[in-house]
Amino acid sequence: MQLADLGLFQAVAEARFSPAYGLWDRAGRLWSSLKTALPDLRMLNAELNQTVFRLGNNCEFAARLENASISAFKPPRTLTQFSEHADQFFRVLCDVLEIYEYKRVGFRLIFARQFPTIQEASAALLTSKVLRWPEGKHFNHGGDPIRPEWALRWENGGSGIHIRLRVDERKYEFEPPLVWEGPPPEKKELVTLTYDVDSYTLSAVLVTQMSFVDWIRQCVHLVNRDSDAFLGGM
Amino acid sequence: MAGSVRFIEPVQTATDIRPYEPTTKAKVVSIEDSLRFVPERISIDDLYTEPMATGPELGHALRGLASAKGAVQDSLDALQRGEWIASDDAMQRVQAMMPELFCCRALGDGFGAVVNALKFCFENAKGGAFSKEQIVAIGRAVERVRAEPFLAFGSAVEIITRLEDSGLNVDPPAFATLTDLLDVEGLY
Repeated sequence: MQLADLGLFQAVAEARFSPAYGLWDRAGRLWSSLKTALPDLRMLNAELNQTVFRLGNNCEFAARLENASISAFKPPRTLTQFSEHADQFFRVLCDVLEIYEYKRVGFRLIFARQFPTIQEASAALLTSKVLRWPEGKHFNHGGDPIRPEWALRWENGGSGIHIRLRVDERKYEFEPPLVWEGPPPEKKELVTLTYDVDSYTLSAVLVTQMSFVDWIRQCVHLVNRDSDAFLGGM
Repeated sequence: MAGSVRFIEPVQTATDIRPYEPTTKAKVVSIEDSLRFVPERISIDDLYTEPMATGPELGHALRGLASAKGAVQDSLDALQRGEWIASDDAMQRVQAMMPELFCCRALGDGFGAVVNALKFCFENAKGGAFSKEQIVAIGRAVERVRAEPFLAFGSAVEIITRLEDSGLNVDPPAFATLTDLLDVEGLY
């Protein structure tokens, strides 16, 4: 299996900072400024400690007292638009809330490949070269393990990366409102083999050091370049 | 929630992570509480470990500024040894990098302002040698803009003021003519 065989399910960019109490005063200004750049932005949730806005049907922005994030579901793999949105969002956020330093910056990519059953998804990971375990019966259980997980983390120079492979299950259920006249509701269950890559910093980052467009582009380049070394054995 | 897609959590144990939980509901743990948190600021080289994989402006700017920083250090070292010509040669290497850095000014107003000021420092010197104080001021400006390429215009003004304080002329060569002209016309 190669990275190209997996679909990009989710991308998340997040920044953490010291409590930005300005959010209590200036949340309106923050979203008004951002709405000028992204007119289709619409409010999803507004509470004292967090405000969440959505763009289209797959991109969500959230501003909270100590962190802010942008996440996109099934974005194009180039992530060009996502990184531009992230850059716009964090620039406006830092300007309005007077944030000068991030405590942590993170960027997470979740790739997934669908399988018909949990057993088949588990077998795909178990038969890879990345996992090894002693043969035979252990802990009074025989046969192949189910829902395997595998993770590695590297940290140095103030930054780190965490990669994970695992089997996930997702269930979607649509509950129609009264007098629903649309298509009949249906349930959907998805089993996926998930490849999750989290790039992050461990040291503080000055806002004046950070360009989300450039940093995300670099992270995407590294993921595209190095992932097959781990997925290639599958 | 009627009329919308309901998201049902996958079967998980207590130790499972929740990759698909909407980020708006994710529990945020203060990074400062983590034993792995390093309170020092990250260096620009650790943040952009693959500068050529970033945008073309940032990659070129970081590479050019690193070379400029090295050349300024070479100039100071030569000055320390009393080698005036070698010192001047090194500063001319810095000047040669200015056009490339000028092309990267899309990085931000602050970056553009500092690079412009440095470019005019060299042009206004008209080939004359810089004093040690001026070389140090240029070196500090290069170092700062490399460490913080997205610095704000206000911070750039502070850097430019320090260049001026060292006796460097950071204004465009035509600026003096323009001000003279406006002065004659009684507009300035």
